[in-house]
Amino acid sequence: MKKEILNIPTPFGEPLILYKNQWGPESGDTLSIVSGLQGDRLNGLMVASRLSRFLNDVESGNEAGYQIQGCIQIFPVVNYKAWETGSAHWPFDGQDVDLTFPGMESGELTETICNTVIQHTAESDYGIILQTGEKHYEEAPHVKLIAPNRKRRTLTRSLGFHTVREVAESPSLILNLAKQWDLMGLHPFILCAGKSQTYHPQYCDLLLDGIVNFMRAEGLLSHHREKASQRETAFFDAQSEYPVLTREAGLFYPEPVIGTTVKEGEKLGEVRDLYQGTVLEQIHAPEEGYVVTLRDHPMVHEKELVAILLGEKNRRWFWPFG
Amino acid sequence: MKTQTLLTRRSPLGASVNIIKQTFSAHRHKPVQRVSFVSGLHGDEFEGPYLCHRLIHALRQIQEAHPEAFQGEVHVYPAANPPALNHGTRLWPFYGSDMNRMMGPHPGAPLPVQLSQELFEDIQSSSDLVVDIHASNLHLKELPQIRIIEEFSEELVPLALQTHADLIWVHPMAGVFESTLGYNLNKSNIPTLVVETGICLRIEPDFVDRLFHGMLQLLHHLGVLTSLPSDMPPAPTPQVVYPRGVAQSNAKHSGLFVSRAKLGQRVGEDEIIGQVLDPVEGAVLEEVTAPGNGILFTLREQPAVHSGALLARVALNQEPKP
Repeated sequence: MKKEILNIPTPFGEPLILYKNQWGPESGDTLSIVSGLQGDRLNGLMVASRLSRFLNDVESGNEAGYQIQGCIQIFPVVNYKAWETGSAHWPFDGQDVDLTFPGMESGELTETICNTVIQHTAESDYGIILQTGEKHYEEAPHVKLIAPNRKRRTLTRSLGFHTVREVAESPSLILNLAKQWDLMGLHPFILCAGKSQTYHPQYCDLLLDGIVNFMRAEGLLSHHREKASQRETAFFDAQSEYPVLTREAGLFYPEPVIGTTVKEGEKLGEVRDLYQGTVLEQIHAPEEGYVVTLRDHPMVHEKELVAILLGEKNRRWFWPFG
Repeated sequence: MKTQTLLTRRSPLGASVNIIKQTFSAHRHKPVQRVSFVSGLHGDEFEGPYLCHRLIHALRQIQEAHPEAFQGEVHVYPAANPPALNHGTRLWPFYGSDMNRMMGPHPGAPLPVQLSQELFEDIQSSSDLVVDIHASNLHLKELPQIRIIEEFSEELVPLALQTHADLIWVHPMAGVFESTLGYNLNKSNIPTLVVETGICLRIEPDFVDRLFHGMLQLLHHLGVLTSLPSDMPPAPTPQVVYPRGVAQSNAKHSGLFVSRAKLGQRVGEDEIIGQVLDPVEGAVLEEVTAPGNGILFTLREQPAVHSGALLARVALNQEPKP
């Protein structure tokens, strides 16, 4: 059911209205799913919309065998004003919404929006944030895990992702929604796939399947025959990440290695001179690793980050040994 | 004066990104103190670069005429975020990253993170005291002030009293400061004064004049300079306010805020300082009043407001009783 959570008049026109969709009983376990923190991350928005349709169908009996058991909330759009402009941030304040939590009950518009999301998710047990790579980078589908512990690792396995990055504690996290959820006692998961300004249907399928599986595993959704599955999952901590930098400035031509495991010395791409087209540098994997992040924008400075590898020798399997 | 290109990255287009540091060394001896001035972390704030220009100009004259006056060392970083300054944007334009949210421990290796980290390390290693100069954001105009987080006030307030600022605002810690230059330097035991003055994308010469004399006064107070120019104005006594000594007015309606007050004027409680107007219907939505007796030190300049937006702050003559 679509519910209004914030209604603020604007100086010149229609009011700004934020919505959430909600299904199931308000008591009991609650999952909150948030997308649209930035106005250019399309995969999350598409998944939120598809998931809402699926849950509406379940609620109205059109998805055979499924029943909603817990409370599920979806917040498809947070930075409404940024979505109007098609940019990551609202140019009016240049504020990254995911650096504005917990916001303020009465403050600037972005602060008020963030606080509204916090208030509506405060009683939840689980939180999922749908994200893509940072500007100019594509990310292979993976989960980012804040403040990892055994319980959270176990929960993560139900999301159906092959790769989990455990985020190092840092003061810069404090204004992120995921960190605020962590401080409020929710189990937060950031699901990352793709790049900004691009809809990637295959990644969205993965995200959708993973979330539905998670809901079944945690009893928020049931199916009369099928059980939720858990798959093998590789966990990498911050020390397992190998940033790969350019030596030269120029145009970066990547190899199609995103989401694959490369061997030490394997070519990741090359940098060519912008004006002459000559090859300035070939970039090779410093070690064997899974390419979780790859530069998407060709223009690179010297010492620019073009890839992040997750070191294979640091991989920790959590299944079937967990 | 010694000019040093502190950090550089070649760009694919040709020109490099360079961060420049100007150093005035102590005459003969080991410096009594090493003081650094940093400006331009946000590229739409030009009060800082202008203040740095005034300082460099004056210090060069002193060094030429009276080199023996330099008993300490002064570093000036006039343009800490050159790409943003060249584009007049708060954030690093190609990435939309805020350099003043990447100081101290920070994950990742994109270019703005690398340069923020390297800049932080250089300032940390070459300073006993730092002045980090900012203008306000796009929306608010500020009287020249020093902002101090409560936990550092004992050490910083006596230093701030030298700066000719109108106001010293001791305020509580908040998450937003965790990754800033000022907080992280103070945490690493390098006293750092954060200046906030004027409004972004503009220069208020009178405000900068005051601060310019204040910074020379501070250098003299610290023994870095043994003499001052003969035309120094008398030092004003700044008002020191603590958290309960600041009151603010927020918009109750969305509309156009038109101010009827002047920054720096003394106001009485409930005195009308502006109106919020409905430009479409021609209605007056609210009369905005001063939240207490005192000096108006923050005033909204960007007229388009949503309800909840900050319109004004007053440094109260007297703290309200608890």
